[in-house]
Amino acid sequence: MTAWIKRIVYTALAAYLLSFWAEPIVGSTTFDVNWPFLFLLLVPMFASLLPWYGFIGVVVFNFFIVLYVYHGSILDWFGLWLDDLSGVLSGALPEEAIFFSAMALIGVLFAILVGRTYPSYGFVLGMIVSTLGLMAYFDTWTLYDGEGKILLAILASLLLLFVTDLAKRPSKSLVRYVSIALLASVVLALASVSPTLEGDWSDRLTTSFQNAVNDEGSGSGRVGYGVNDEQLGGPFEQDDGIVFIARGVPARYWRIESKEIYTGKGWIESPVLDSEYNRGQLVDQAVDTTPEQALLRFDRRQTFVPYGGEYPQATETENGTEFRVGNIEEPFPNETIHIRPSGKIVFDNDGQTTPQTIQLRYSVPSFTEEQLALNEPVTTLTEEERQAYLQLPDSLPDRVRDLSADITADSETPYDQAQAVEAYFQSGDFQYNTEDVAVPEGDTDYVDQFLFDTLIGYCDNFSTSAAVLLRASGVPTRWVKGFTMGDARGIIQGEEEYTVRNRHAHSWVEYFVEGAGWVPLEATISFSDANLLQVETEDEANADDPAANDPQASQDDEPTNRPQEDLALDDVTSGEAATENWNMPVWGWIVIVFTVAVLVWNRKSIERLVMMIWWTRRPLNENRLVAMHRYLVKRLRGAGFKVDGRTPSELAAEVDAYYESTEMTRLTRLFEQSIYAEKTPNSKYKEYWKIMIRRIMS
Amino acid sequence: MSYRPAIQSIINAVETVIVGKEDVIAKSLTALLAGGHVLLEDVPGVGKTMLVRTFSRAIDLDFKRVQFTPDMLPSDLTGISMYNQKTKEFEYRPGPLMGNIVLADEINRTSPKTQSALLEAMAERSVTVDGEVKILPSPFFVMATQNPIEHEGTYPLPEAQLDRFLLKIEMGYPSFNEEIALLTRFEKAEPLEALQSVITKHEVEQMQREVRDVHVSSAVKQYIVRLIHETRNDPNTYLGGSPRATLALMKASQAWAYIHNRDFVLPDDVKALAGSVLGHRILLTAEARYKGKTAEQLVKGWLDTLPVPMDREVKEV
Repeated sequence: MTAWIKRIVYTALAAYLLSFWAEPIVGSTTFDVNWPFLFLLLVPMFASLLPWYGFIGVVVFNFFIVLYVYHGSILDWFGLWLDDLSGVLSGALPEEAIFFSAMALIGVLFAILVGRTYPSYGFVLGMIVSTLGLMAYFDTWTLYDGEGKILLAILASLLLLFVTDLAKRPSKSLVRYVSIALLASVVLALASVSPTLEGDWSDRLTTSFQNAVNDEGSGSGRVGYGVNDEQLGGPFEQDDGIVFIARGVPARYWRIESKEIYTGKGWIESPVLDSEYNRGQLVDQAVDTTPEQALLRFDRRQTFVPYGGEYPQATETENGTEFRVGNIEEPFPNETIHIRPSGKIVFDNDGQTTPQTIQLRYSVPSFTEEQLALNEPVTTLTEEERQAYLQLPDSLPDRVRDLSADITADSETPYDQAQAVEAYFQSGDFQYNTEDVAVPEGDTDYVDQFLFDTLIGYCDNFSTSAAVLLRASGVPTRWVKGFTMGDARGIIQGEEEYTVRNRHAHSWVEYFVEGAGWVPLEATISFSDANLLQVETEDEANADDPAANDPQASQDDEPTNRPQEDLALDDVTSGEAATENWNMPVWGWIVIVFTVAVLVWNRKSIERLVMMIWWTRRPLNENRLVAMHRYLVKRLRGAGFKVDGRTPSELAAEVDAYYESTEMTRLTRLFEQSIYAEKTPNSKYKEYWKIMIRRIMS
Repeated sequence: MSYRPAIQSIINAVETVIVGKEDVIAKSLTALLAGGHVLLEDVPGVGKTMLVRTFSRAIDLDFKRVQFTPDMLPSDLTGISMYNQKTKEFEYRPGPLMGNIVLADEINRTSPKTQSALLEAMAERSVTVDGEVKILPSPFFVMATQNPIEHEGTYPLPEAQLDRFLLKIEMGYPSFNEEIALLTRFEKAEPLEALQSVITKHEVEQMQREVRDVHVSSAVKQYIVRLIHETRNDPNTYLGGSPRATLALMKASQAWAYIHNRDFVLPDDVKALAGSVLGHRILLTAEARYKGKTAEQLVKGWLDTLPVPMDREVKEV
């Protein structure tokens, strides 16, 4: 009876460990629900306690029940499966049906392992290592957050080891229980009276944000979105940590906020500005906009909300401008979010952090060429605002102003001036580089140093310089921070997804055109503004989403904006192809890798299973008996028994003494009868053999 | 150990007199049933003679004893023809070899000439007196003793002659408890006097025939031959086991299996007897002797490493 309790606890703990797999694996796919996979993984585990026919029955029944509840119908599922299979064979993304089957297969595989190997340290250790490894991997590299769960997993692992020990070395003595209980209470007592330090669960993603590129001090920063931009410059390291995944949108730059005051070293926010453009609008009402809805999944809660076009929808309330975020995970009705004049969306909750999933609605402006070509006096901005957007520090060297005049000499409209500045950077003298970038020291001006001295830099250098040059020519500008569109994950369940990482942090410029509004400008060389600025030509004036997905077309429109060098960080065309190839079967790879890992870890159990099936299904003859006995002896040697120089019965006596069993002796009697007395092998040998193999290899 | 009833009764009978020494008793019985002879080697007083006498009583065999001395002549063993005054004819007076169990005490004390007469009798199961061949009674079982301590005035048996003994057994001292039991047993009575024979001469001959039917599988034959080959190839041996040793090991193993109530030989049987069968047939090199190695140790070493064949298929190693 107690043996059964041990076995049930063992199986339950193993199943509990396996349940940790569902969330990260499913989370890396487009499935939104875990429960079908939990059922597929765990029910077979428990069914492994049943005899084989019960096991098969439960597994099949479970599969179809889960399928029915999840999918709504079973009948059309086979068709789906075939479609999916043919799709995969022709190189497409595996869809629901195959993933479903793969998870079911993993569940059955583990169930067979746990049932057939019970109790096995090998299986348990493999299970623990792969579970913890999987959690650690997904926690570090994906949106999955395993902080709280890993403790539970470790606890379950230790318990599982303990149960395995109990099952493998049955003992009536209470010493084990008492000593464990004693040890646990001592540890607990010590822990509760010891002085404590607040846990620090920060991992590399958080750290990278704290050390973001704009951090003070010299030394090499890490790229990412930072708050402090007062001191720009210096090299940074690339960081692949994921910030969020955007779903349902084409490739699009993600705006977070803008800054207005250039200090000569960096940017700061101006005193509060107030204009209608800061109340939910970036562009003039005359400009066509297309509503767009995006689902952002954050790796962890952030203090900012990136958005794709104009500010997300805001509403006027008694308390001022409020901004509501539709949250698909939890009701979020009372949380208000303010839009700062810079366009930054600030949460009023305690941590000032976003929910992990945000459903955003915003409008994407699409300028016409006529609108961009406008050259009206600025009237929409107040004088205060105008001055803020034209602000330049007194320390700015005159040669910067002279250069600005030179560059824009032939340009009349703000748009032309902006194009001239962009073209100036692409003249070939400038170089995109993230490593050999200087920090201006002493009185050196950041822009001046870049334009005349180093000519080497990254987005901050180009965007700041462009903003300053345009201001010097009388065009109101502001410096914008955010992310580029990120890495394409491909089309998942019919919608595009992009993974935005720390290294996609970016800065660009917005300049003001009266009658059009704030027009974005991608000043950094080797970056395309195809995903930043939409310009309607007459032909496509009525198109909803022109050119956004077609870098080639955009490049034709903007021949000066072709990516220049291999250094391009966010070269959309090449990036997309590369990432798609890698991303397409991500979970498929994960499943394969972990299946292989589990197989390798449990190779003994699998070998045992194979040998069992291989030998015991066939009638026993002398050759098979000899082969089986040889295998058994080989396993005994592997288990540490001295085999050479031992007669079968000597070995049997030692083995039975060790395992406190009798089967080895009985088996050996039968073996001797057929080999040394040369009689027909007795088929009872197989039974004892199975028992012994199970015992040795568990 | 499970013995067949007849064997068990012999052993029980012998054990009423001899305390402990199951192994020695079983091995002696093995030699008797295999038709071989035993060389008992040990210091005086450990019960060698008592063992032999007990055996002869228990099995209802004709017991003869010869105390070997340096002045003994071959004819003292074989018997002589004497002139009968009355019949005026030469009459044959049988010597002590004309028995079923012959205790040859201190065999190394007599001259090689006499020793070889004994050994010839052991091998041929007949003696030649005055040109006339006299067949020895059956069963014919020699238990020779020799004292390993004394060297003064002894004639160590040549290797070729040692080879004629199936087993060499060492008696050894009894353990503490056994010796106490020994005292108790002999305190008031003489158990040997009370011993009744439990088996007839005829039955012994029957058993000897049955022993030959004990099956030796090819796996076991391979094991025996491989072991003998080890004795020949080991750098520590000067002289390894002869084919006669191979044969002896097999026959002894058959008998050992028989008394353990089996009709087939196990590698365990070979292992159990290898020391006794091979110990006196192997000559060590001077170097090995100098290092203090003994033949028994070597045999144990071979047994410890030699893989036990597990199938019929004959594979030369």
